[in-house]
Amino acid sequence: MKGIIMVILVFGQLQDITGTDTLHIKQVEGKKQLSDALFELFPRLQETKFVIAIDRQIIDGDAPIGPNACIALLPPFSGG
Amino acid sequence: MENALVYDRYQRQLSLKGFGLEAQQKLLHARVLVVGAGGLGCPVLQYLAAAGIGQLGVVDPDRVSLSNLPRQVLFSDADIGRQKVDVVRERLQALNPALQLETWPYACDAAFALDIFPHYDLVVDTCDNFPTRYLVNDGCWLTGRPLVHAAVSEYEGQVAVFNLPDKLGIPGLHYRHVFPSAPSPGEVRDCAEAGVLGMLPGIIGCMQSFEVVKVITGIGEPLRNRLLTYDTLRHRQLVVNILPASDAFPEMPTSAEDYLRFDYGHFCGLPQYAGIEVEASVLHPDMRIIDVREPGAWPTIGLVHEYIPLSQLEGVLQLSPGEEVLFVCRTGRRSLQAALLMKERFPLSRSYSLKGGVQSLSSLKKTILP
Repeated sequence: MKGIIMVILVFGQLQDITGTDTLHIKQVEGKKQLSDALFELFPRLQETKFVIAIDRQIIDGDAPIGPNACIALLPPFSGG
Repeated sequence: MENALVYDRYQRQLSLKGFGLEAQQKLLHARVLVVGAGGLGCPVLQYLAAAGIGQLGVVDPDRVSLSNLPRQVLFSDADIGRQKVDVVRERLQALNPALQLETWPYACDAAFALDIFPHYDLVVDTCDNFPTRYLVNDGCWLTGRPLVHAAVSEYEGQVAVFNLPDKLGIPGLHYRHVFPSAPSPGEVRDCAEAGVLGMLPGIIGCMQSFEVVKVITGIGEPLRNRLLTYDTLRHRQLVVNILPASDAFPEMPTSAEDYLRFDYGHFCGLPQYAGIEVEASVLHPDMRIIDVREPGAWPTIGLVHEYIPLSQLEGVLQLSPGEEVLFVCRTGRRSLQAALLMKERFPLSRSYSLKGGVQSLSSLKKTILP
């Protein structure tokens, strides 16, 4: 897994925190590790509601992340 | 409606492969409740009425305002100040006289949901705030109504179908399976704060109304237990499957009694701000007025006042006990944050927020100026 870079799509106002719509970070093995890595890079994410989708699935709790997984950060929207 | 008229009116839908008379009859017999006649509600109502939905219900407490017009395309300049549901009634009846229409000029609350949701086949959430979104979600779950959800943020939108049983009768998931609890106030900016281009709710509202048609007629695959996020700037689109959350939802009312008592404002972290949010009528000429918008904000207030942006307020402003300050912004939301912040830092000061923001400027001027 070393040296592999994950691509993470960032949606909504989370982009205000990440500064980009696409993040590239070092491969991690699971969702928990991913959120830890994201919180370290962007501490403001800790105070923000969002879900992590892995391979187009929103899974409650921890989940493994394979190489080349499709990862997205999705916040709730309220506008109408 | 006579069959010949149905055939003429809906000819393009009837001749569509996979749709036809059977699907059209389902639309003509369907009852759909739309919560909110705003940016999403306008296209949803317009297209559903045009497509031949038999009965539409619309609940919305607001009146048409000037800033609605670029996106709420059912309304025109001459409608400013009128109750939205009254204008909706006029426009939709003109569009399709066979439509049965029920309208309510107030906000959807728990009592309304328990009373009215059961009379409709499905509910469409086109509202513009989290408390109502959770209220509608929980109400649909309690009354067993499918919910077609959509929401927008800046250049992006989300659409999903909740609470829809599958063909075997297995219940659908609901909004809380994705977002069990609401973000704190100010975390997600709404259209009034973050801005929006009218085409976005137009696009997302059309997707949402298409989901309504799919649920009613059974064509295609509705976004059942799936969340679509669409990014108009880059044409990115992502559909994700929602899996059941393993935990129960401790913060979700499970009975009608709990539901009626549940405080959705509190659940969404809205502070109790009675006495802090004020109308222009409480003002007097000696009151200190502080505009908390960023520099260059428009429209200007045109009164003697100070500018201290919300982001700098904490370091700059000192208030003495008993001092009265009125905070002002464009909508009344940032000024509320300012007033709450100052109330916390200087509990003996009297910090107020002008309800409705600069938009209520004309009444402010009348009150203060001789």
